[in-house]
Formats: sequence, C-alpha cells, structure tokens
Amino acid sequence: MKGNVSDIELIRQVLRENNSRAFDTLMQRYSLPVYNAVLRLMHDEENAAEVTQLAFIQAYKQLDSWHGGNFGAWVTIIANHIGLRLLEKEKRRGNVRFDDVQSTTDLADVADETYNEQREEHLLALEQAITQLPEADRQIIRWHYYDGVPLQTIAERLGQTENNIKVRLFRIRERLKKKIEHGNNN
Amino acid sequence: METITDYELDTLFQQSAQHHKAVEQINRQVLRTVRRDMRLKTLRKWAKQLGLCFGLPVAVVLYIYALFVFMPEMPEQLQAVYITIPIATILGLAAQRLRYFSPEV
Repeated sequence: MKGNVSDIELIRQVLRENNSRAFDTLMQRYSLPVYNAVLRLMHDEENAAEVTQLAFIQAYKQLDSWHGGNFGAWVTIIANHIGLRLLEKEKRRGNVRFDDVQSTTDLADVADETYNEQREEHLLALEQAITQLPEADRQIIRWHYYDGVPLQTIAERLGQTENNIKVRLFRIRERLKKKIEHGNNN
Repeated sequence: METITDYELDTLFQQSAQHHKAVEQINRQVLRTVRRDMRLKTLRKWAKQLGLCFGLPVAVVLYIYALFVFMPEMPEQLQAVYITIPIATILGLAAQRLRYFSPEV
C-alpha cells in the first residue's frame, strides 16, 4: 500500500527507479496543503495553481538535494519563494501597489475579489475536520460533495436506505459544523 | 462564538470541491512534466550507454587505423601532438569522473 510508504522511501523510488507513481503519491499527500498555503499568500486561485505546479516541478528537479524532514513543508517553502517572486514581479510591473507582501490589506490589490480570509480559514478547518472523520463517514462526504453522487446511489452502494444516509449525513454535517466553529479543537 | 449555517457549510463544500479539482489538475500537469523528464532521462542514459559500448570502441578503432595509415608520413612534432591529444583527453575524462564519483548509489 502506497499510503503506508514513508516520504523518504517514495523519494528513493523516484530517484533510483525513476518511479513516477511514487511522485504522484507524494503529490496526492501534499498538493492540497501546499495549494492552500500558496492561496493564502497569493489570494488568487489561478496564480496559486500555477505556483503550486511550478513548486512541485522544482521540487522534483531538486529532489536529490532534499535532506529529509517534512516533504510537504519543503515544497511549501519552495512554493512561497516562487509566489513571493511572482508578487515582486507584479509589483515591479506596477500591477500591485504594496510595500510589504505580507500585508493583507495591500495584498488585497492582487486578490481575486471572491477571496475571503475567514472563508479560507473555515475551508481549511473543514478539510482538516473531514480528515478526522471515520473512514466510512469520510467516504459518504467524498461521494456526495466531491464526486456528486446522489444520496440514493450512496444508499445502494452501502446497502442502506436513503433515509438512513440522510440522517447519517445530517449528523456528519453537524459534527463538521461544530469542528469548524471551534476551530477543530474538539 | 461564530455559528456556521447550512448554507455556509454548503458553500464551503462547494469551494473545497473546487480546490480539490484544481489540485487534481495541478497533479496531472506536474505528473505529465515529471514523466516527460523521466523519459528523457532514460533516453539520455541509454544514449550514453550505447555511446560507451559502441561509440567509444569505434572511435578507438578509427584512431588506431588513422595512426597506422597517416603516422609514417607525419612530421615528428605532429606525431607528438597526435599522441598527446588522446592521452590528455583520457586523463581529463578520468579526472572528471573521479571528481564527481560518489561511493553512494
């Protein structure tokens, strides 16, 4: 199972065996947190996607210089560097008017109008809360909200009634809401 | 304490699904680049290997052939150059290989 393989082992497989699947597993593990981190910096989904992509490509090219530690954190650092360089470039071009790239008020100039700091925090809390759910509940959430599977189909897949699934989903949602409200502390 | 409404939760789910789609797209693009790079690496490795297995012997044979055919007609100084250049090349390549040699795999 790839899920149990450590980062270091996966990186070894990439470097020694040219195993692209191993790198794919690493990306599955870390691309969402890296993307979220970049999004917090860039405030723009299109740029965040581009920066994340570049960061993973750069990480792949410099993989032999990785000396252990948290792979996700390493890629995030690379992504932040790329992101900041991009923001600097934008600033020089005059597209962005800000003195401090960390300043959220100034960064708002680059931001997509739809960006909302609090919503992003809630989003992170939701994603974290989902990972803390039991596997069966997580699967229901994944099917229904991410893959758009109707409740009736989910009920058939799990051999339960649609009402059962509705009740279960209601409970999961309540649990998630509480987690988001309390910032995943409970 | 802030409260999350059902509508807000639905919006969060929608946005989260969008993020997941974006990330899937990123993964696909990165993987395409990684696979292309890996293919190139393999190709270069094979080219290097073939060059070493066949190119090098061919070069050596051609050089020795040229040595026998042209050497007797050459002036002495040119003969010295003709001998020195391959020796210097071999020593240079050996030095380069040793410089970047690592006992680790």
